[in-house]
Amino acid sequence: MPQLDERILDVAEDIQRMDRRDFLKLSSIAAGFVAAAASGLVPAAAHAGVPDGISHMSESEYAVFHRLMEVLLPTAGSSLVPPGELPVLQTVDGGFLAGMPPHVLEVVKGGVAYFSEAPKDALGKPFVELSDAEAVTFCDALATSDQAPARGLFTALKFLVVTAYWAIPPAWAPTGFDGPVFEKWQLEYAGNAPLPQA
Amino acid sequence: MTEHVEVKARGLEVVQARDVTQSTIALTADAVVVGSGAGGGIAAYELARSGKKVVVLEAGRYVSAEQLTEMHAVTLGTMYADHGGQANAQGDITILQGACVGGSTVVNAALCFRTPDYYLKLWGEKFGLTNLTTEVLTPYFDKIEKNLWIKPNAEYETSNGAELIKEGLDKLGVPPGIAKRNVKDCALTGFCFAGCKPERKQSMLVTYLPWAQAHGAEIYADTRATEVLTDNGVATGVKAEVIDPDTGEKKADMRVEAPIVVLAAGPIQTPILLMKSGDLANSSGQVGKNFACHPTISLTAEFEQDVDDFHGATHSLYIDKYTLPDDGGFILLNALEQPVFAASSQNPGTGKPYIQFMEKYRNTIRLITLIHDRNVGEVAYKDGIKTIHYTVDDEDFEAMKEGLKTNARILLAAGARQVYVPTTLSKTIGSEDQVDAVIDELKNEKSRYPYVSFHPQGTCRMGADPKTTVVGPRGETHDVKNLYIVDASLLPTSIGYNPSETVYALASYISDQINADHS
Repeated sequence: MPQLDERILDVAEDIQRMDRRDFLKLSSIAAGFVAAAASGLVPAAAHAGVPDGISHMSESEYAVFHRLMEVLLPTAGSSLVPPGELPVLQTVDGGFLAGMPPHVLEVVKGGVAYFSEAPKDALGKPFVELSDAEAVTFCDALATSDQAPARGLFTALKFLVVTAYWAIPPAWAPTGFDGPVFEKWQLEYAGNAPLPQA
Repeated sequence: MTEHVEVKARGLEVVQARDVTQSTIALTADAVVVGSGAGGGIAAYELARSGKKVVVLEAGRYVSAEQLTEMHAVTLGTMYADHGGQANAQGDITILQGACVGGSTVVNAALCFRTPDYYLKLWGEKFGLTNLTTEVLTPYFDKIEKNLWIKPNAEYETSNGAELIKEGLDKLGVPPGIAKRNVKDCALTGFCFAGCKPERKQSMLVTYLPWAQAHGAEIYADTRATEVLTDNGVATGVKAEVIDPDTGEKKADMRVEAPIVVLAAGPIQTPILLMKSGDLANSSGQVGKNFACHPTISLTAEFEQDVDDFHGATHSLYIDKYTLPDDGGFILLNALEQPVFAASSQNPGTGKPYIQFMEKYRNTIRLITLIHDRNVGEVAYKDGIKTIHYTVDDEDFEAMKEGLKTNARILLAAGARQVYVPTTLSKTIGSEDQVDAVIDELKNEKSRYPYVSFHPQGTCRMGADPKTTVVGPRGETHDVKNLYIVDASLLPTSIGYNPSETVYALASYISDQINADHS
């Protein structure tokens, strides 16, 4: 699809016109992972039009993340667990977004909004309406862009989604990874070391 | 000296935010130690052992062994700085640091190296640290190696991936280094980065901190120091806040009056605390400057057969033939990696290529390239926000490329079907004759590579000259009497090797100086 590729590359170049600082901030916080369940954070009231467990995304943001999850994790025909069977976006919401300071969350939301709208000029439709092929090409164009902000945007959003997926233990079984072993191996606590003689 | 001290069999007595009922806490002590990791734990014990009343303030949580999950994603959220999201301003280097009682010693891979003579000589020549000779420091290395059970890995302390890498090294004639780790009776879970649930890693949690408590030290978790107090150029204590880690709400203001203040909050938070304290101890202008972090890039090797590199010693071998700057400036380290980390380590392409890559997870192993880097970064603090300014230097990137070439050749010699090079769209190397061409194409570009740093260092560097360094040769700041620093912010240069043993030794040495000054 050479024509499509060219148009999408144009989109990627457009991204450099975004506020560069916003992208830098976005990519820097994307690595953050807050275990909301472990830290006992109380979710805010859910927005209308989003599933249970989604408290920090609007309906449109949820749609972008959901479409991105489908594009990044097309498990049909593979041995991997379909992402729709796991609480992936609930983990993005509760595990990442819930722990972000308000000003950081706003940057993320700005990045999601731009990611959603970026294909409109060239392709006439937002990210959520791209075909699978268009969406894959768009994502790869961002990843390989000459512009660091474009690369940072895609890397950040991808990180949120795939890390959330692989943080969920039921996702591991097809890979052979068996997870925690302390109880399974019947290990014992060794306790504190005695006072040193040195 | 306290008589008849007894170490608790398990765990620590820690005052946590949930225990705090009053809105103000006033304490007095002989010494207050800010931070409970490699430097703080050792200082707390050595000062308490000499009969001083010691209070330790730790900003992070107390996570007992029973509470460890052996799941990295959960651990990142609860036990690492910024929930595992600490990064440089550009966002392309994740800087992992423990943020819990015991600090990074709880979540590191326990790999230990003595400070190379090369750097001790360099520090003497360039920074006037002529007191830190090999002869002076050897007894300290000996002592902490004994105390922390630092020993070469036994033959069984390996992993499936490490065994494959050894085959590659044999074929190439490259000598392997057998890792020395502070682990006793390793259970081979492979979950070092999530904390050692069976308590085999000899972190501060099971060694120096309980020993310090046996000598009367008090430990406060969830307590972030906000200001170092001084009077006429002499340290007098610390202000702090107790914050509920679950809600972020302040539970109490704390004030600790103490004639000895020891900072061990780590190379990010120690300079920030000085900045918050009115740009304290900064007549040199070097507080926060000279940041280095040992950037790493991992290559992923895919084999035809299942490798199941899931459990074992997290690190068991290394290649340091090229580690000193004149030899190349990089070290290679094998490492286990859970799926949650592997998930974003490579981008073989969006969609199906990614799924196919992750389906082969059990066929893959990783080899890390870590570079000795120049101190080109800076930790800044403004309007309540910290920023780590650091980009990989062009010359350092060339060292990284040489390291990646060696790395790829070893993995291919080990029998890898292909090796993934993690750019924003991963490249693959299928044979030795492709190595140079693929790696030579790499350019030092921002947001192009998924760097990870485990070793921030160098932001309050040590040296004899008050005009160019923050801390003097004996660990006291040049500007503020009785204010000491004992963490990796001291290091005048990066050292190319995991710095934990260097910090252990320096903290022991400086503690002796403190005790000598305040007997």
